[in-house]
Amino acid sequence: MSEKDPQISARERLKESLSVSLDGHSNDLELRRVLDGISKDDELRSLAGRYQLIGDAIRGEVNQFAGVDITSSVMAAIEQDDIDSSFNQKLSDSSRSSVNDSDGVPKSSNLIKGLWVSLGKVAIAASVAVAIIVGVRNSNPPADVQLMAVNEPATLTQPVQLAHTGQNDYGASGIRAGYNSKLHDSITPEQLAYAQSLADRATRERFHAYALQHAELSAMGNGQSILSFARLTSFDSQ
Amino acid sequence: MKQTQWISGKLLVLVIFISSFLNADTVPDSSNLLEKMVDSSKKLSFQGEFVYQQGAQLETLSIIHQAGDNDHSEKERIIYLDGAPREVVRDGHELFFSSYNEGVTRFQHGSLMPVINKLQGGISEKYYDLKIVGIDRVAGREALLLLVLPKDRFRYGYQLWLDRESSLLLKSVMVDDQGKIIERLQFTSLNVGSLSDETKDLLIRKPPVVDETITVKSQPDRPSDPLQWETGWLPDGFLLENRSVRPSPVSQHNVDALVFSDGIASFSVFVEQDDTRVLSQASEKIGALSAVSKIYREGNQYFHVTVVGDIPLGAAERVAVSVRPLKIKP
Repeated sequence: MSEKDPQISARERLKESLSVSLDGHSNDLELRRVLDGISKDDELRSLAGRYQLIGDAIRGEVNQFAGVDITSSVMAAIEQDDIDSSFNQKLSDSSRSSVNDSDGVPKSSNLIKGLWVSLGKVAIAASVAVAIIVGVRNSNPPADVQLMAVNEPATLTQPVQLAHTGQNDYGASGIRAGYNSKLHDSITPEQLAYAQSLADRATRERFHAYALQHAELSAMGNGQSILSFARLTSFDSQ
Repeated sequence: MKQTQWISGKLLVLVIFISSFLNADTVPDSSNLLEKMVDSSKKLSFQGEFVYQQGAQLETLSIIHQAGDNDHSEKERIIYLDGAPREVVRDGHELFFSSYNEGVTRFQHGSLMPVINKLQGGISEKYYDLKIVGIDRVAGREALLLLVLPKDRFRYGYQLWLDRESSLLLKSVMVDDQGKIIERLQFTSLNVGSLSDETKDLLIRKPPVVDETITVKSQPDRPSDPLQWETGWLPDGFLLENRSVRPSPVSQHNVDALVFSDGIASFSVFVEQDDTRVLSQASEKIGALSAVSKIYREGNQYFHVTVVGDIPLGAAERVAVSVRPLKIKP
């Protein structure tokens, strides 16, 4: 890609970047260019779908989600939503409404609903990057040694940051990679940081809630209930 | 000649004596020992205190357990002795989790959860190397030290100290594949046997107010009501232990809950309809637990998959990405 032959048309270069971006090697600028290009060009869009399939096939596992045309649907979502003007407005609206309709609904679900509503607009934009990366990574099993060796370059750009150190380090979330990509200039870093913290809180709530469910399930089953419930203590240090 | 006969005869007696000693006196083979551990934790009454450490955090907890019999259901109370007051009260099909910060959650089961795949004795041995390596003392009791080493990367390793008399778990150390200690549990005192009346009174004291009730419907494999999704990949040896439907703790929908276990480790897979319609993925290690959340799309339907369990994060992620809708069948 480094050498630019004048004969190569813009579309050819776009195709090339497309292939690179679906392989997970592209930078932000390239990704944005590809997305813009895809949205204007039907042929390129189908090409994107094909690359995605090829990528999956190379990685050895074609699954049922492989055919989903993620890019087009996400672009459509962006076109429909006016992110620039309405973000702040909607944010305050939704936080108000989530306070109001709290009757009869469990507290935690309400909180998450509120978070997600306010998050929605930013998240659509941000999820462009995530959707593409996740879509391609769909079949990338991180734990298998053999596959890991084959997929090594892809694994490096995986959107998920793992919190290795454990309990106090919340906030590793798949959405983060998308936010950091600065896909839309209209979103300020402050808004990104805010949206990110909302997403992290929602994820934390979810994990907390389901860790309790899991403890209950294993205690009722064959598990050692002392261990199952003792493990919940890690949530208290938050 | 006579002397050699005499020596070999003596040796034989000695060998018989030793082997009978091993058989009779609770040194069963290591796989049986694990089964007995699970069995004892349900069928014996006991009371004790233990410490639990994960990372830099150390907590003290106490447990009272009463075995079930014809007249009484199995009862249990676990009290967190440090930090914000919390406790778990279990009475048969009912379990309360009370937390000072979050109120009381009641789990209500229509019946005891049916175990779909009863774990077979040999299963642990297939996926772990089990070895009794010595005798030790924990909480003033004689304990057998059992090494449980995983044969693949999809589970953790354990050192288990099991009470020689009752096979109850006295101490447990869980390590990852680097040998790093992830969690440690150790009893500081344990009394096995019938409980005093005072202690029994503690067991029947339930929280007066319940903030949230979760009604769990067990679903033994019913062809008329199949799941909408399936797990495409599971680590070898993990069998479905049970399956249920319950209201989701984080959304307005119901959530399918499946528990898988290899006899030592276990994880749950939760699948519910998703309203956010934002494809995302998050994974995290929370102490000894790995948690993965992932949203899928199938046409206009979005599914949220959450995997939680005491398995390595890589294994949990692989399970989460393998979940797929079942609609399209060739």
